[in-house]
Amino acid sequence: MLILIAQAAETTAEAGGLGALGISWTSLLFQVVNFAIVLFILQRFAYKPIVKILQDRRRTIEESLKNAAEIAETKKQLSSDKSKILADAHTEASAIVQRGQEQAKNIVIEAEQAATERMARFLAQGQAQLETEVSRAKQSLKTEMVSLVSEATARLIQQKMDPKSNAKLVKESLEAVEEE
Amino acid sequence: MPTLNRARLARTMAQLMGKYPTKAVAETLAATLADYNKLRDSDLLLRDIAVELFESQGILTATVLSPHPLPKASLNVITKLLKDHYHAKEVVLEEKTMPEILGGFKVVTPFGDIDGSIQQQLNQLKTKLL
Repeated sequence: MLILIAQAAETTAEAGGLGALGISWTSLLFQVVNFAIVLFILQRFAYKPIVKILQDRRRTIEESLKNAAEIAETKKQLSSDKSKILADAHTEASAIVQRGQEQAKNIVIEAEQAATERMARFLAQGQAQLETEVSRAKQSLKTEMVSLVSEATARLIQQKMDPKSNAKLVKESLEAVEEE
Repeated sequence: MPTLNRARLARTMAQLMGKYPTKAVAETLAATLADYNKLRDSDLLLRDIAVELFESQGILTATVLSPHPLPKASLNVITKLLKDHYHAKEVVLEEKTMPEILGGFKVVTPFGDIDGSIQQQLNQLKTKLL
C-alpha cells in the first residue's frame, strides 16, 4: 500500500516546481513517513532501552564513584584511625613501660629496704648475742674469782684459826647476841 | 608387816628415854629401824624424838658445832641463851668438832639452826658478791 501511495505521489509531484529541481514530492513524503516510522520504531524499541541502559550505566558509574569516594573516605578515616590507634598504642606502650619501670624501681627499693632491715636485725641479734656471751663470760669469771677468793680465805682462816682465836670469836659473838 | 608410823615411834621413844637408859633406848630404836628397813630415816626420826622430848618434857637437845672445842663458859652461855629463847626446862648440849665451819660456832636444834660460823659469813659474802 505504501508503495502505491508513493507511486501516486511521485506522479503528482513530477508535475510541480520541485520536480524541476529533481525533487519528487512523493518520494519526499515517503521519506518523511518512512523517517517517522523509523523514528517511531527506534523511539519505541531502541531509544528507550538504550536510554535506560545508559541511565543504568550512569547510575552504576555514579554509584561506583560514590562507592569509590566512600572507600576513599573510609580509607582516609582508616588511615586517620590507624594513626590514632598507633598513637594510642604508642602512648599506652609508653605508659606500660613507665609503669613497669616504676614497679621495677619500687621492687628494687623494697628489696633494698628489706635487705637493710634484715641486715640490721641480724646485726642487732649478733650484738645482743655478743653482749649475752660477754655478760655470761663476765659472770662466769666473777663466779670463779669469788669462789677462788672464798676458798683462799677459807684456807687462810683455817690455818690461822687456833682454839684460842676461835674461843675469842665465839665469846664475842655470844656477847653480841646477849646484847641483842 | 605393818607400816612404821614415825610420829608414834618418836613419841614412844621419848617416853622410854625418861624411864630407861639412853643407850638401851638407842639400841631398841636402831633395831626397830633396821627391821623396817628405815635406817635412812634415822635423822628425821631423831629430830622427831627431840621435838617430842621438848614438847612432852621440856627438854631441848641441841648440837654445838665448832672447829675447836669450846670453853665451858661459852657452852654455858649457849645453854642459857637456848633455855631463854625456847623457854626450855632443861637443855642438853652435844658438842661436835667440825673444821669445815672454819671458825665461830653453829647450834643445831630440832626447830632450826643458829649459825654464827665464819663459813656461813663467807657464804653470805659470796652470795652478795655474785
